[in-house]
Amino acid sequence: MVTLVTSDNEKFTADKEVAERSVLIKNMLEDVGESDQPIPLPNVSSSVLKKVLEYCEHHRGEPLPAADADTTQDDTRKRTTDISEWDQKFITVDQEMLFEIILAANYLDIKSLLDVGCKTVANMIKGKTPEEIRKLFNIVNDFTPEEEAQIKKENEWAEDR
Amino acid sequence: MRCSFPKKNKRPSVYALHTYLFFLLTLIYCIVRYLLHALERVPTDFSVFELAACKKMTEPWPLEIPELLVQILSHLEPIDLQRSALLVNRQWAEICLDFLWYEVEVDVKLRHPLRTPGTHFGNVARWHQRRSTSTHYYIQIR
Repeated sequence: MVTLVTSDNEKFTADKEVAERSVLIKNMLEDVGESDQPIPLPNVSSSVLKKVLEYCEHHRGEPLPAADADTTQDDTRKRTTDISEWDQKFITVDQEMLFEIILAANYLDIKSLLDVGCKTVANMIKGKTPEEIRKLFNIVNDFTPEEEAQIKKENEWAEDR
Repeated sequence: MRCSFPKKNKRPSVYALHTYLFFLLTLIYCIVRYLLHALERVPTDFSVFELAACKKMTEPWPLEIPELLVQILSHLEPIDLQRSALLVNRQWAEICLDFLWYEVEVDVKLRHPLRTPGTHFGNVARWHQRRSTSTHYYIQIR
């Protein structure tokens, strides 16, 4: 068993196999060796770690993605936003929790969870107008009207693709 | 013979002191009542605020972290990149343009593998040049 300490000082115990779905924790455990020392996770709150552990528990035993499987911008860039039924249910949380889960997955280096989070945000973006996206995520439009018109004009071709 | 009058006592009388104290206490009472009334309107359950505002000031959201934004936008189709994400703001445009123009580059390579940018595909070469310097405007291949 592994003991994890969150930013709000709450202690969680998890199976080593479950906790090691996080590359960060796996590396920490390798560095520390056989020890009962709790692992501090100062960037993760208890509510988020609870969700993360729930995800890891459900996906325990599944093969971990290869470390060099980062294909963000290559020929095989995956545009799929399909999420499995369980993951879909798991990630149906409010926007703040969703963002916290993404940040935690990024920090803990849990690629599959990060993917689920990013796909969910991508699904939220799909079919919305730029104004709707700005409103949804509270983003400021820093374009001048001229810039906006020019970019729109220069990229009209993508409509045909 | 000098006539002397009793000097006026400049100290406030007990009556005046009481009046002063009464008004002071009334004022304090009114202020306290007003504050209590105002506080009633403020939700004491701070989960309403979720401390998000405080958190947001210290920790960036995923959409403010370029690597995560790239990951999120990488899941979108070109049509979604162009119609939805491209015109959100400059940072989003920069990433979307990279994705959209990357598709063009791949298309050119697949359709004309022997032709290299700079000959028949000067536009692509120019795009590459501009891509390394400017972030916003790329030349479109025709």
